[in-house]
Amino acid sequence: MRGNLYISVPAADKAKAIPASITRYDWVENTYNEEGEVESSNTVHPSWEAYGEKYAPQYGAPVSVTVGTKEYLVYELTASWKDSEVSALVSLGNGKAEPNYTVYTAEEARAFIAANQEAEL
Amino acid sequence: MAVTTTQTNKPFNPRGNDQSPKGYNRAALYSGKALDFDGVNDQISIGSANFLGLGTGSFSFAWYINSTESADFKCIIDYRHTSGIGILLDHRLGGIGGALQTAEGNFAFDITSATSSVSGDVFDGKWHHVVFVADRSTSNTRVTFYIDGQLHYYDVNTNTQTSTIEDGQQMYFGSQDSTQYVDASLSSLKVFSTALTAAQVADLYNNPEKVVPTGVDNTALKLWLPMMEGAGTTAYDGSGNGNHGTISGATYVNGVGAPVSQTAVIDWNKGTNVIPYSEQFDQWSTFTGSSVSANTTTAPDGQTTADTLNFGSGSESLVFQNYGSGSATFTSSIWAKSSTGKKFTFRHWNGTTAIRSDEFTTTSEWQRFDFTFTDPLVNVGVSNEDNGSTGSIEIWGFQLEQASSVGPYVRTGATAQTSPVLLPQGLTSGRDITGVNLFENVRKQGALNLDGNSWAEVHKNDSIPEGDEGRTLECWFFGVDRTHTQSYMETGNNSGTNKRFAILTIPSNVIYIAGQIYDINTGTLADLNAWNHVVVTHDGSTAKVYKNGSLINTSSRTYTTALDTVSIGRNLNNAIETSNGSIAQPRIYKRALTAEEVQRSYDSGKNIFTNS
Repeated sequence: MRGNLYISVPAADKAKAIPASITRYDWVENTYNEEGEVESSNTVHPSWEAYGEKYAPQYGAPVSVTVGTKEYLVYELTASWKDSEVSALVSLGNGKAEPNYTVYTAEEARAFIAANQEAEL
Repeated sequence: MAVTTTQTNKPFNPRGNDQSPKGYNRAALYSGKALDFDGVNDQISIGSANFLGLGTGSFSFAWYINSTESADFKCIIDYRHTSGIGILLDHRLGGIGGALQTAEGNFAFDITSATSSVSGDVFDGKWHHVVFVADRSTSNTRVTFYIDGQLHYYDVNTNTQTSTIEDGQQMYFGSQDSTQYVDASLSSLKVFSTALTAAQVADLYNNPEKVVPTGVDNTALKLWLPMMEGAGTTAYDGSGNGNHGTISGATYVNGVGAPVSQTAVIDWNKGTNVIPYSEQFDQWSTFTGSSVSANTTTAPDGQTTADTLNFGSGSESLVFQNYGSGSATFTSSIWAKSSTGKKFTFRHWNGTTAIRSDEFTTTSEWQRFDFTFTDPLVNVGVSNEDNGSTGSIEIWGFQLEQASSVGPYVRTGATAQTSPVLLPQGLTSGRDITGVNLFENVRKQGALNLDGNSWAEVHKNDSIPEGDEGRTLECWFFGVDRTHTQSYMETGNNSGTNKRFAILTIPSNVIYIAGQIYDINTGTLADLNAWNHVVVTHDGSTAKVYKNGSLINTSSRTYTTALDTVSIGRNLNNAIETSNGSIAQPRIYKRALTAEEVQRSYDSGKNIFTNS
């Protein structure tokens, strides 16, 4: 699966939840009684970290990038313009300097990562 | 006179009638798909520590790539320990390059510093087959890159580098251990624990259906990820070693397609049979008390078309068929069996004396016997042994070729097949994605399963009819309802009126012959969700269309096609008219088959495809 955008999230914020209005990545966790019946059901709205772990097979794992002394994680995801999901992501970066919650295209994400990673050989 | 005889035991149809191509889906192996890596965070991680076991030996990597990557060190393959020991292949300094790290140091190589280089580019947005070879047979490692079967560059380490690289950890395909992600489409990664030779690299490129090139032992294949599953997050290891890859983010795309992988699905062979009535020995002449009982038993192809040859008591009791005249090296062959162990010989005639093979002893199982000789030839025959005795054998499928070895069998009726027929050779080696060896004769019965995007091509050669030459296009196709035209096979191209000659079905599922204006609407529907045998013949002025052995249309037409690539499964000139069905046993003859020949061909395949 290929997402339509990428976003750089400060690594320090990875425990924070993704925007509440983006529910497509929510999942349900059930608990069961001894008879195998659903006892309780809980909808999980993931943090950035949980999103990255769960959806890595589909979108790829988050990429760690260090700018200066600060670490950022670049996440790939699909977000809807029509349902204002993109707006919710963009608004995370309001008033903040790049690369804090900066939304990228694939090409921009590649350039951002390349500019801040050193080759090993 | 040079005479050699051989006896082979090659069951033509080892599975009897249980060989429906519907049960064997080759699409999973050769779907034409690849994985696309976005250059941001997509990769495949493979195996566990030391899983390749490369040690101190030579090794080779092969893969397909389509990329416009321009940034240095964007990584294609990374197989290194955290200490850096191992191999890295990437884009660097304008082209494909890499580094081999051992305890003695790092040997980095790129095209700008190579010892020898040839122009060419991997990263030009086109599909390429790339092979990297690390020859460690001497203390100075020699690394070589091949692109599309040709040498691209090589470099030799001037420093000694003999220690192990066996302590690699996981392999990454598409990244450098989760960094330096490459922007590329990649497919069919193979790792061999040997240094492939230039000939073996060319063999892989030219015969992409081969999993392992000729001269390389299967055990040298340490990893093979076809990456053509089309869905899911596991890239299965076809080497049988179980080192499946975990896909992270990479997306399946179509388009490895022709001419890389799909050409492999149907590997073409040429065959002739210059003797008519190859299965109808009641049409042959008898001599000295012999006789033929027609259609007495089940032939190797599952049809009841094998005959019984009853010998008389004389030493020259035989059946024979006239060849004409000519001197050459010939190979004759025939399937034979008997319940009594009856012996027989090939007994031919050069106009003056008999040309005899050694005696062959039949068994209760069908065997194909062959006999190669160099001599003038007037007629060919099958005789009892030298001293003569009565008895009988079952016979089927006589073939005479001007060749020094027996070739693929070509059925003939009243007309000898003197010009080569293009025949699908089928796959002859390799394993499926679970590592199971695929038996040659089973593979030969497989159909090409199309997915609406993939197709096959046969590059133009002198066996393909051109101009207004007579021709026959024949195939079995599995009818699938689509909203657009489907092309199954075609000669010529779209360059103008009557320049194309193609078997199609149009959206109403009517069988249709396309000729660029000179089209033929047969008005006959293809059977959906069933196999259809369709043959179209053209003798220079008349086109005839047959479905399941029956003539369904005759039209006055003159096609004058240019010699061009044969396209199977889509329009040659455009990526349209693709099919979602399957195609099996496509054949192209350089003459118009007769109605009888069409019927016999249908009869020979109908129980395979229709179970009738």
